[in-house]
Amino acid sequence: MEEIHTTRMELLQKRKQIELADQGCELLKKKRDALLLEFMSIMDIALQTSEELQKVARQASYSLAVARAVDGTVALRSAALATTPAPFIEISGTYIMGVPVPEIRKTSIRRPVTGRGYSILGVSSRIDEVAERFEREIDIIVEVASVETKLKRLGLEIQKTRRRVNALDYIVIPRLKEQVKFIQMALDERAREDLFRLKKVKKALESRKKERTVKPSEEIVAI
Amino acid sequence: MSVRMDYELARIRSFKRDLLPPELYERLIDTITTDDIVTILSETSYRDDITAALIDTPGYSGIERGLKANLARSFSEIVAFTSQDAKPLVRVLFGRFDLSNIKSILRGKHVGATVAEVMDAVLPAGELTEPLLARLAEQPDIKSVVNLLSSWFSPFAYPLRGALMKYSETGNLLDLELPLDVYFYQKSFEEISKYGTDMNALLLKEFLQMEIDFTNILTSLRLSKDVVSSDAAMGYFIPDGRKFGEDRYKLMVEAEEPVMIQEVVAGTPYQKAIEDGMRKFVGNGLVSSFQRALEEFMVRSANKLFLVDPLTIGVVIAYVWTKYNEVVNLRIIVRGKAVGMEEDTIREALIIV
Repeated sequence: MEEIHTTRMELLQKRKQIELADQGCELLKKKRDALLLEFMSIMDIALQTSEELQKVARQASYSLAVARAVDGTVALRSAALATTPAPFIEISGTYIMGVPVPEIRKTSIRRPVTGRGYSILGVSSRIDEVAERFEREIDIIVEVASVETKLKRLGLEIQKTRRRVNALDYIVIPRLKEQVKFIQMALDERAREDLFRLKKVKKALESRKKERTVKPSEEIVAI
Repeated sequence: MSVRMDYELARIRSFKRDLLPPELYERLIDTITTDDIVTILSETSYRDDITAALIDTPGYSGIERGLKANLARSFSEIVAFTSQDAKPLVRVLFGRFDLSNIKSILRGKHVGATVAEVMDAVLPAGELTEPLLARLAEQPDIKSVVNLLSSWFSPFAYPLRGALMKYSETGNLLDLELPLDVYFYQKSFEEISKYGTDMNALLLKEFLQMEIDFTNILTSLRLSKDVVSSDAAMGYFIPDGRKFGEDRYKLMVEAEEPVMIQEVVAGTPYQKAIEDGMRKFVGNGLVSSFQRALEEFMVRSANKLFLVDPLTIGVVIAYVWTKYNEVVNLRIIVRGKAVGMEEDTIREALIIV
């Protein structure tokens, strides 16, 4: 346990610290609530995009299975060889309630039927559909990645803020209050001791004074 | 110039006997495991190819490899036993496989794929056999592939040599593929015209024109989904079709409503196929609905040639389309089973002639 100076100065300092901790705790609670609100609104988007991703992924897999069945793996592999450009993704940063979150900006990778690198004359429309659906899936995956990273960052910040609030609420402020109480008690005790000591001194002085006043009369009696 | 194809037709008639009866598809659809499918197919001409393929690749992929090997073997056998007289005509029929294989190799070289990756994307069913395709795939770049094709006097080297300059400037694979596609049909007509009014040549020409219509209809339908300028769309048009000319093609590319698609093909032999495709298209919005309906039309039209023209190249055309359709049907069942497709969905996807 830290050493506590039971002085009035320390008492005043501790009281100031409690006041500051209360203010901090209040601010952190407000931050936590605001982050939660932000988190919930992003959560809705995350749920929507993830549901959409599941739907599009199912459709893409089905198209792939159909194209593999009807056109064969050979035709699919051949068409896949023609496609070279990778999706371009630019990542920058932004802040939500002071929390740094990534902002993923991408150019849609969905391409027109004539822009996939192969001549459409020798490639089946089923393969086009596979390409189209997987392009859509990649678009949504990037969207989901962006939203989920935001969620993860906000979640971590909420957790951190909640831990801080709890630490202030249940550890720091009660401990400061205990210390104030202890200092207060110590100071009161000291005050009482001083009072008692003063009373004692006063009593001693009074009795000495009394002794002094009694002695001359005794001398007279003796004469 | 007239061609006698008696020997070839006799051989193909014997091949025809090996085609699967329709009831076998039902047995295959009812199977539960890969082994069941293998057991049923081992009673057919696919036995050796599937057994060999399953040694290297187990499961559904192994069966698919076996089907591919069987198709390649059957078709390259036809090319091999065809007499020199009839070879140019048969080459027209099987040239599409060479065209498709060369395109796969060019694509592989374009992206720097390995030889194994490229060889996985070819089907050696034409004149270019597997060793020849492997030699092409081993070339370091596209220019070397074109040079090698030139040294073999391959007709495909000609359009590639012309397009190589543009490709080296733009780096766009389309600049190589499109001239190759267009040239294939030009060259095919050139070869056919050498036979004058020969019955086989006329029949082959008619079917090739139908194939061009099939390609043009599908191209225009696919382009109509995107915003493509009229000039750009015309770049994909293959001339010399049968009933679907330039005017209809332009109208189809510009069609904004599904009902306009039906109007464009009204009065052509493809009207019913487009109507069938439209019923599915309205529900799913997928151009492949039209493709499957048109494929069915082509397979049925080709299959009729077994009976209509039994003494001409019609038998070869019929066999090629029917055999190809058979492999597609088997692949649909195998792949459908692999991904747990509903039995009715599998049945609906099959074209049984």
